[in-house]
Amino acid sequence: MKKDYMTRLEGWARWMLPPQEAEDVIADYRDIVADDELRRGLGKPREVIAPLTTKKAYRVWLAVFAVMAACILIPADSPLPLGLYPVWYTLFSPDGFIIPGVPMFLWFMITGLALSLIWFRPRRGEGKAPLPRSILIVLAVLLAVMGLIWWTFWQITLYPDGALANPVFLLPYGFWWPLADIYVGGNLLSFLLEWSAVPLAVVGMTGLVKARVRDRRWRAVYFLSLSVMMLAFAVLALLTSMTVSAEPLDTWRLCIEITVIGLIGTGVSLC
Amino acid sequence: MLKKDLIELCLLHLLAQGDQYGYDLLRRLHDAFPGTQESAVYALLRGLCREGCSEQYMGQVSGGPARKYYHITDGGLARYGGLLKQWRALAEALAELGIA
Repeated sequence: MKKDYMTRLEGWARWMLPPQEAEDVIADYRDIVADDELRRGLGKPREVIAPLTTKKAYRVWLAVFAVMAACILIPADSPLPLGLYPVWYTLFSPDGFIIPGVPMFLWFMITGLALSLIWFRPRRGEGKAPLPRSILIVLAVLLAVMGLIWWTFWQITLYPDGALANPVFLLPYGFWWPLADIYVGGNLLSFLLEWSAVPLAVVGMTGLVKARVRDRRWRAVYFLSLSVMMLAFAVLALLTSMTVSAEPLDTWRLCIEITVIGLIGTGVSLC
Repeated sequence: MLKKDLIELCLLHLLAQGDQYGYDLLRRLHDAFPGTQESAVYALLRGLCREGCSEQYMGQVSGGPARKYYHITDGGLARYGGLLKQWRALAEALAELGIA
């Protein structure tokens, strides 16, 4: 009971208060919660923490969180029934947006990376704790998904005939055809590439929340999820584009850019 | 003088006697203000910190975990003096009305 109360209180403190203040408050409440008489008069954990927040600082945090969340949720909205269906096309439009020639996906990635690096930067005097194993496991899964997308892209662009004869590709183009036909692009591969955005957004948002309430290095999970999503969309754009001038060569450049930014950003986020 | 001011006066009074940690301060005020939530008292204590009336430092305790102590600042002593003056004026006014 005490442990559960304290866990929830720690979560709310780290969510609502600046990092240093949150740690000070948590240290004080460890003793207070241990005293049964005092704990009875405390109220719910959120009600305990809410009066301690500075409204301005909390609103700034919520605004920053909203922008970082938007960077991953807006693209992920694409496949949903009421979603902004052609978001991925806008993301990779050669016309660019904001600055002509600079595709939108770069703005989403740069904004997400810059904000997460600035906001979850190391604090002065912060000790170097060992990297949580759970972060490494999630990153390994995301890297495997990234590798799988690259392998798929490789097969499609370099060996298109072989890809169709490959038993793995028979699945999207053959076995599942009746089911896949109702989805974008008419094949299961496009379906998987597009819908991968939803679980990636869930993982990315989990990383974002955990970067605030657990360990700031969870920001690496947020950023790698965003990068993998963009990579999936880049390949999807090639598969489903109706633009005559669409070239695999452009997609190669896009995929390399996304992967390089994604891996460097993830590495820096782990520091 | 509001109840909030009275609690702040008590907190500053206790801190003026010596550095203390959060739990001790709340424990000592618990009996004096039975109808007040501990979290409200603690919010006032943090408010004093934010306003520069007190500051925190990591203290060393032999045989136990290190705790953060609250220390009254010069600004806190000035605030304490002001609140004490208000309290004495109020107590005198009440005494003149025959309220002991």
